[in-house]
Amino acid sequence: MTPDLEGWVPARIHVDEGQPRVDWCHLGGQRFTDPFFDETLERRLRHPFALLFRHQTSMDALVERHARQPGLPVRGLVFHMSRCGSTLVAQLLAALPRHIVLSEAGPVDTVLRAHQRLPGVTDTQRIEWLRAAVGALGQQRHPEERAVFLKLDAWHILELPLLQRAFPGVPWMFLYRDPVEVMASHQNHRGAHMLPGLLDPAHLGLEAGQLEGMPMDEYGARVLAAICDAGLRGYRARTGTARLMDYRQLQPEGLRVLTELFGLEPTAEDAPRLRDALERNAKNPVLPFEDDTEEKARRVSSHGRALAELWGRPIHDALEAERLREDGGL
Amino acid sequence: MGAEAFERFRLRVLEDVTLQDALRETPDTAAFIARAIELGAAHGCHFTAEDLHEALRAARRVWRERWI
Repeated sequence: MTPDLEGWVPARIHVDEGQPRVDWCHLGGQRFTDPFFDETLERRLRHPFALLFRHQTSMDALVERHARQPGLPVRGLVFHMSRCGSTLVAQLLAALPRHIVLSEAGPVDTVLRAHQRLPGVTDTQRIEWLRAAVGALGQQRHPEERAVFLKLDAWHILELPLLQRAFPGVPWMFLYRDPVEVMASHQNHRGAHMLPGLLDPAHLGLEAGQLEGMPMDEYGARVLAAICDAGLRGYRARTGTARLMDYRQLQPEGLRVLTELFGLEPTAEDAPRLRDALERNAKNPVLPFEDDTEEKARRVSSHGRALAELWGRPIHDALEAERLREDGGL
Repeated sequence: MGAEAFERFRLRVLEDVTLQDALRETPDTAAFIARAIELGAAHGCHFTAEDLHEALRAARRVWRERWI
């Protein structure tokens, strides 16, 4: 029997004896306003009730629930190469109480990579599971909530065609940044996708054997290039509304681009909320925003810089050229 | 014994929205533990504060392990 899941959200999806299982957490009225999905969950799990009492269901139960309660519509997808301002975009969207922003939500990633852990899982199943997970996370829990936005993990751009099939016609953006600055950030604190193991080497245009002995920084530089390449190819092949956005555009132009792309229609009440989000450090909102472009460029090792130039520069320049052609030089 | 009693209570709570509401309204861990012991006893499930602390530690551990 499926339990009463009003106010509960799928916190994690894990594999148990070869089957995906859904862990539900009671979120009550708590909104997803933290920079990342997991931070909201961790905050909630500080209450002993949420930690001790968690429902567990099959994936089928999640899918069945989605048929009955589809949740709010998905209105935008935010893709990015990592360390390029995407958290600020998520925080801007989350600053408006009518939005539910799922920022790098674990269940979304688990479903997108389900075929890697569960042989035989088809694209059709992944799409069904993805819609069901997002639908459950995007249930209206406050009367003013109207729309869901997904800020995806960096590697999810490699699954753009599948995400577009799951959410047809939904506008999307791809954010990127100077590859040397991104490399500098990862050298300081490496993201999960910069380590071999997370991504299917085929996605990166590599044979499994090619990974052996490949230095970590080279692997990372090639991952970033593959992510940007997928963003550019997706943009060129777009059939709906999409935008490319460079990190340097964010502070002066970000709000305008988001407003146009996602049809935000900000009200007078929204202006201070958005201004407030723009002025804070997105990943640590208690701190003010600081442009760290110069600091990052200074900090990167000469080897890291050379790899970023070799693998990242050509695709970064191609993205910029494409963006400037479409934006008319903005 | 206490751990088993708490597990029975836990399953009972997951089926009973009224019990869930009563436990969720507690403002902090101390108040939660007192309420849980009281409600558990009222439903024939007798466990101690230490049983609950152990259950919390185990839940935290499982949560972290599944993250990997």
